[in-house]
Amino acid sequence: MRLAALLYPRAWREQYGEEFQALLDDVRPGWREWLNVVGGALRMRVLHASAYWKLAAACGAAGMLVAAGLSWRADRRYVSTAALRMESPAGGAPSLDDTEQLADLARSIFSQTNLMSIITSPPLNLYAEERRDGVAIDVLARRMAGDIHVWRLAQGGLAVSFAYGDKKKAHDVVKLLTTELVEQNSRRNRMRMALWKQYLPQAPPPVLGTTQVVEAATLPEHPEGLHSLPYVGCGLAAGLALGLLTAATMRRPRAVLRMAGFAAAGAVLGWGASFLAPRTYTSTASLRITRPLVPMQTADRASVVEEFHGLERVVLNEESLTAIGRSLRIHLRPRDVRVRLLDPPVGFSISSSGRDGVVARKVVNQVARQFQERHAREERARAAGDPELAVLADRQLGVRYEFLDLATFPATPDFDWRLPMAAVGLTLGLLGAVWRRKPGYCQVNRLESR
Amino acid sequence: MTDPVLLILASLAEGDKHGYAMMEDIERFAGVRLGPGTLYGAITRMVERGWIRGVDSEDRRRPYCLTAAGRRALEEQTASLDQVLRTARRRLLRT
Repeated sequence: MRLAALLYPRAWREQYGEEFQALLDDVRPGWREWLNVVGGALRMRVLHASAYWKLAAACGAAGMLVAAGLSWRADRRYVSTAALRMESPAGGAPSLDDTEQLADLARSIFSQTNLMSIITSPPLNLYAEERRDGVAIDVLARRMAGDIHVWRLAQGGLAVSFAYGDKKKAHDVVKLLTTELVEQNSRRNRMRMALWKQYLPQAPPPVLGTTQVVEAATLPEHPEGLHSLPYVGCGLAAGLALGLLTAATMRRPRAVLRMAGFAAAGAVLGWGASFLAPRTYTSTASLRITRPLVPMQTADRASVVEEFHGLERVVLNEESLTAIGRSLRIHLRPRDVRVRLLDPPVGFSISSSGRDGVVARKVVNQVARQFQERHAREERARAAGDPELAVLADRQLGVRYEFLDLATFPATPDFDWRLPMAAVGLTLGLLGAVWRRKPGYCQVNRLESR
Repeated sequence: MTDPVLLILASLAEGDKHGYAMMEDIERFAGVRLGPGTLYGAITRMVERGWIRGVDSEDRRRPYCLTAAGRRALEEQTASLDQVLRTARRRLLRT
């Protein structure tokens, strides 16, 4: 009982402690009295000014612990890694060009279209839960692309990793990606040799490298470092908010109820108003700049980039875009279409935004087609007078712009206004509640709560 | 009637009492046994409102007495309760 009495705030104990102890000595305390003393102490702590923060801190600490526990359960991801390099028949350490070619190859393997087919392939069946919940496949492909990491190794070559909740599947995906890289390079080499023999039989054949797996996909035993910090931060914030709310409710229940009513009304109004906010949809496509006959060397890239920028000025000028807009019966402005060169410049992406996702997709396709047609025209113009080059240009065997990712169909708007608008409504509701407060309300409530 | 504030005011209306004496008195006249936590929670609030005050004493058991404000508060509460009781009684007789 003496210990229970120690739960009272120190300031209170200094004033009433001795007489309270005398009372406890007089009363023959049982478990009911003990509970009564503990309850009284807690109530006193809440009513005590500094206790307000103590309760919030206690709730914050509890929230942090719960969040840390949840992060332990929710965020276990296994990372499988493999390493590859391009080996030229002449041998020696891989050059920068070899690594660039490998990176170019990897880009086509990790394209959104390919990732979508990997996600749905029956043996892997990735993100099954999310797909059951109705998450769009292109959204999952973007997420998967974020979980795949490719980096250049100091000794030449590339490392590929994939992070996933299932270690076996993480391993299988990396194994599949490396196998596809090796096979794709081998297929490309065979096609290049066949084309070379057909169109340039007299010329010496190109030196083509083979892709080798230096380090096979690892089967991770332990999950990667847990990303507990964001969870713990959210838990702390939620716990603190809950603690402050509880303390405030206990001190001034009517004021808190009033504010909660205003906030809820504001949030509902905000949520409703969000449906009136404009929604834009963005479609994106990527094109590779490639050369089917011989691999593109770093030295060739400068002229390719220069030509691309020339085409960009032609395709994205006011007149050309107006023509595209007219064919789609829309008013197309230059700022509605964005073209970005990839880094390294192995291709470029085209994206367009608008109120209608279908129209945005059509715009992207038309702009991509314009790039392809105008580039092919320039290739033919360059080959004029050289019969050998003219044959290659006709069959698009020179530098070619080919689709890496087809234009996406945007199922979801770029920005979901519902949550931010509800948050704004909630805040305005709270401010409204404070503004509408009667004079002296706090003082009256303080007295009443006592 | 279980409002500890009213019960304490009623108990102190008879004269100064310390905590245990109040508990015993309240149990006797109202049949309610206030717990130590409840009693001292109410005493703390009433001291802050200026309705009661502690009397200087050599003993560990400090007695409390009603102040003028406390007496007024008790009068107001009993008048209000009296009104309620009279109305209730009258209505009961009518039915």
